[in-house]
Amino acid sequence: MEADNLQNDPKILMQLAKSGDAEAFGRLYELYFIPVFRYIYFRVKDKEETNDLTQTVFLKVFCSLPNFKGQNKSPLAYFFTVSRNTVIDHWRAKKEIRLDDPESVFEKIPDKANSPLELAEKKEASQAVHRAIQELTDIQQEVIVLKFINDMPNKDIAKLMGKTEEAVRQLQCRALKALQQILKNQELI
Amino acid sequence: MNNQNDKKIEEIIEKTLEYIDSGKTPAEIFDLFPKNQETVKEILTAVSLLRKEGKSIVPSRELFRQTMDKIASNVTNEFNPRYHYMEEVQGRPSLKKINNITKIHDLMTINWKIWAPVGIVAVVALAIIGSYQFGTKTPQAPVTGETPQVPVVQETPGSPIVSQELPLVAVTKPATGNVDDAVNAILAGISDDQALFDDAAKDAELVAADSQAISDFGQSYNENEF
Repeated sequence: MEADNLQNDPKILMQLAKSGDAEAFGRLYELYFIPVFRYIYFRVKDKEETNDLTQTVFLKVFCSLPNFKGQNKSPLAYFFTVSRNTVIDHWRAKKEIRLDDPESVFEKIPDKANSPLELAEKKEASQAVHRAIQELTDIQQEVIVLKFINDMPNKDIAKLMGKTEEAVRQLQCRALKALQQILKNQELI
Repeated sequence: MNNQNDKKIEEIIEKTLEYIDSGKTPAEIFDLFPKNQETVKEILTAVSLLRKEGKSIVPSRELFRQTMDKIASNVTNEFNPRYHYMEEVQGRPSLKKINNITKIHDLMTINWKIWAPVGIVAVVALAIIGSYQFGTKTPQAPVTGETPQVPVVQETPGSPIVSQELPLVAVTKPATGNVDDAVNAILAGISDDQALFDDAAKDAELVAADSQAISDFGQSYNENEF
């Protein structure tokens, strides 16, 4: 049981992957593929671009494994740092922050709603949430996505964003307060 | 008043987030704020909506597989159709197949800076040596039997007589066995002797002339005259 836990420890997996263990990297890939995809999706708001960028992130991480240093560094933070830089590079290349149409975004999201009414309600709620997130400042969007979409601990968010944990907490408070107001205005809460 | 309210909301949010991080359930958190349940409810609903929205974003299995394949093709020798055509295209002409041409090409492109000056210097050196060896030796003219030139004495008034002597060349004609040729040769020898005698006579005349000039000079000077 303990050995199994050790085998799933991202830090150990990262070290194994660094020494050329393809299976360990496969396990990391399974662990972080969805969080990385979600983070990128909420940053670029386009599923096709998200697909490309997610692939880019994993290839980048794989190629940079020999350069990964430190037992102290969280592999999740490392993956998100690469993701963040990839998104920034993508924006630089596009020279614009894409404000996608939530309608088209939603259509690409798989949904398991049973009835057309449920589907319509979910669609509306999702659109409203996306609109609300987009009304936040860029830094607020990032902190909200990392905290509530990716469930990252404040310690990792602070490292990733180059801020103190206290600064991250304050950012989260302000972002959540703004979001609460926006959702309230949209009568979602 | 509004600022105070804002500050209060911020405090509630901060506390709520702390409780969320510490692993408390929404119901527990809700109970912890009996006076601000409305605000807490809004915050918890917003957080719930965000989390729900996040969970609805799922990458496709196809993308998962594609990415895995890309990573695998980066590190293993697995078959990758992207590069397969390179192995299939065998008939395309390539410089590498023509070994001699490539060798010459390599030699010319790699060493020409060294070999070209060396070659030029070698050619120039050979040309100089060749000119010294063969250029100074002119081919000898065949003997024609012409009589050698007799030394000519040029006499100009008021200037010393200069005798321009040509180098003596012994000209011998090969014997032909013909009497006429022999007679001609003897006559030519006589004429040569005659020329020599004439030269000797001229020299004697010159000596006499000199003697006469000295004598005339002696007569023009009388030591008793003064």
